[in-house]
Amino acid sequence: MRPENVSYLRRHAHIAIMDNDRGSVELLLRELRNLGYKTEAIEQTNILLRKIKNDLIDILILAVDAWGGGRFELIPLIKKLRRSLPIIAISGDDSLETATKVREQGVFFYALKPLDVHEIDIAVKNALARKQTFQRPIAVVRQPVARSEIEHEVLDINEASRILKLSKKTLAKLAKQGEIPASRIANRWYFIRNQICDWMRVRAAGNQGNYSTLILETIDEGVAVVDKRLKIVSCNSAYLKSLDVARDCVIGESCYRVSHRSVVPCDDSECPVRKAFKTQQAVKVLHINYDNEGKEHYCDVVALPIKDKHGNVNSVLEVIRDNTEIHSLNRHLNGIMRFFARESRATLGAVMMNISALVDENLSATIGNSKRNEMLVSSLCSLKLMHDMIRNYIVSYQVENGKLQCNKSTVHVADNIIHPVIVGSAPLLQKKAITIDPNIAQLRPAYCDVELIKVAFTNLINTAAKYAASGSMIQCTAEADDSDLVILVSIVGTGIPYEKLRVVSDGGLDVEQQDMSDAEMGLHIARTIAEKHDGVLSIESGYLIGNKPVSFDDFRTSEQYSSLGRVNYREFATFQLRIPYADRHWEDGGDK
Amino acid sequence: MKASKNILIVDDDVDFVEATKLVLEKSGYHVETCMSAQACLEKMKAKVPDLIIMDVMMETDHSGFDLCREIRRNQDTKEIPILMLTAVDEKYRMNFGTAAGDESWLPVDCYIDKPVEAKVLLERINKLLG
Repeated sequence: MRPENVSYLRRHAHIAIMDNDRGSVELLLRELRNLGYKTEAIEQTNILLRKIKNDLIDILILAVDAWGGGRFELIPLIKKLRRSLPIIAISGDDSLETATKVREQGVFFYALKPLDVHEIDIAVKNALARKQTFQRPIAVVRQPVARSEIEHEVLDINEASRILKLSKKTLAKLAKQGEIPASRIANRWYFIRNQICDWMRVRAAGNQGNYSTLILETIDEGVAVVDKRLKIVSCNSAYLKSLDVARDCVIGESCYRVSHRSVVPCDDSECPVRKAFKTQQAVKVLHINYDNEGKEHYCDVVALPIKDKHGNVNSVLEVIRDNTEIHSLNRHLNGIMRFFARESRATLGAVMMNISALVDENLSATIGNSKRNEMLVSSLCSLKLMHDMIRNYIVSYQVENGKLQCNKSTVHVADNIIHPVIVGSAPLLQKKAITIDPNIAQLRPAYCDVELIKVAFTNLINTAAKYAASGSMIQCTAEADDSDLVILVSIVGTGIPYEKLRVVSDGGLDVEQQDMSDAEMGLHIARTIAEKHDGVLSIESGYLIGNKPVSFDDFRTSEQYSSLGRVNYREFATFQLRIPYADRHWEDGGDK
Repeated sequence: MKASKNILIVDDDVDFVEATKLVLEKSGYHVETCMSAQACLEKMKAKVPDLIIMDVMMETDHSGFDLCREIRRNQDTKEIPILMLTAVDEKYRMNFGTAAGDESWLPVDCYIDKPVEAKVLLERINKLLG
């Protein structure tokens, strides 16, 4: 950052400090003020949030371990209010747990107490540089609007008049003359948004009477030509539209004023246009911008030097390309790869140990037949779980891409779903010495996608077996009530960790989240399949006191928890897959 | 000599613990197992093992990290060789192999990625136990 930029930002940057340690607050207030920053100590959360919301704070220094660590919950809230606010977290807790937790919250910098003011000053400068580079070009981000909405939006004459900045009378006249694309229905003029936008582009280009501008108009992305003084010489309509400014306000204006709304030029090392002038080479820089909703947008800014006949670079072509979708896809793929790498490595741990021992001559000779069988069953079981995990991911991919086919047919629940799944789960059940007690009522045939329901049921059995105690029994019933087929799987003796149930209660599954497990994925898929059949998946887990079920939360906060001995309560989990019989199919004369 | 060596496995992956226990026992070691950092500390009060094999993620994502520091802080256990065996670097996206041995960060004697072959694990254990 150039010195004049530093001093400018220091004079204008507003730093808020929130800590219940008065010593730290006073040290930061004093030292940062001496360095030229505007500083303020904030004690109350509501005041802090209001100031953030009103954009009155540029950087927040927040003690995350203050007030018993309660500040951790504050960070996601702050991120919701203003995603781009740089947070410098400080803490007196040097544990890895706190450091990890802070990093996961996405803070800008993390400093341990006792504070090093020089270190904080560097963090503040970097945060300001980032803010200047990444945050200001908010206007270059196109508002995310579904393409279909843009293409098909029908406008009346009032809306078209506002967009085209033409009076209704002129607009009607142009429409009547066929100058502008429009349709007349029942004495009223209607316009298609994308058609009038194209018309506006062509008209703007035609009015320029300028060959280079006309060429720029053929490019869909926002493009501007910038001269050596960093003034914009010409640009296309997409550039104007992305910035939401009129051509008159752009031509002849400094590019940093237009695109970053800044009164000072960008830093030499960050500005692709200045770099392109300096190096005479094409330069591409990634800018992370934030829209009004706080969503990140990843924009490639490409600066291409334009040489005259003597080879001198007198102007640069700046192209702004929003690659958010590609970036998001890339992040999604990385998430999947990490998930598979982690889960498969963990699952294969036991398989590799067993099989490598069995093929090792020395070790193998010491292993008896019974043990050898156990090792093979254990390996088979791990491989089966891995197979199920991969199949779940394929289903998840199909759901996300709208490619999941639900081919319903008439199915005998016991013969086509329950029994095949239980047989397929044999290695898993055998390994943990778990038995299944199927209790299948006389059911009329169901109308569903047999393969998908098998997948859902398999996932329930896998999860039940995972959390059931060795040697225990899984209860499984399939019955019908007035309208639904109900498959119930329950285990007693151990429960499902609370956090694993969020995929069912909240419905969200983020494959990019770092700690997604195969159990969560399995339950999510089971729920998705149930919903695909207009059904539901519900799960209950908690404690059984006698025969009375109590949720984890209710029990832990109750007085009973501390007074009851461990032997007096057990944990339980119940999965209920409920699918409508779709009787209308029968009424419509479907296959019986 | 092997018969006198005690190995403690700390991992909440039951399948892996069972498989590894079998391999080590068949190779002449005496093996004890536990599934949490707390249980490991309790076991060590009763009997100090000659080597500890531990995972990273147990009760929490970093139980193993905290546990190895705790072992190093305790005068009675600080010399016990620790072999960290985990697939955790996929989660943290860090190379733990290069961090192993750093007293302030990852004070373990050896770090192996899962999955590992029985032969490789035995070689490393033999090396650590001299």
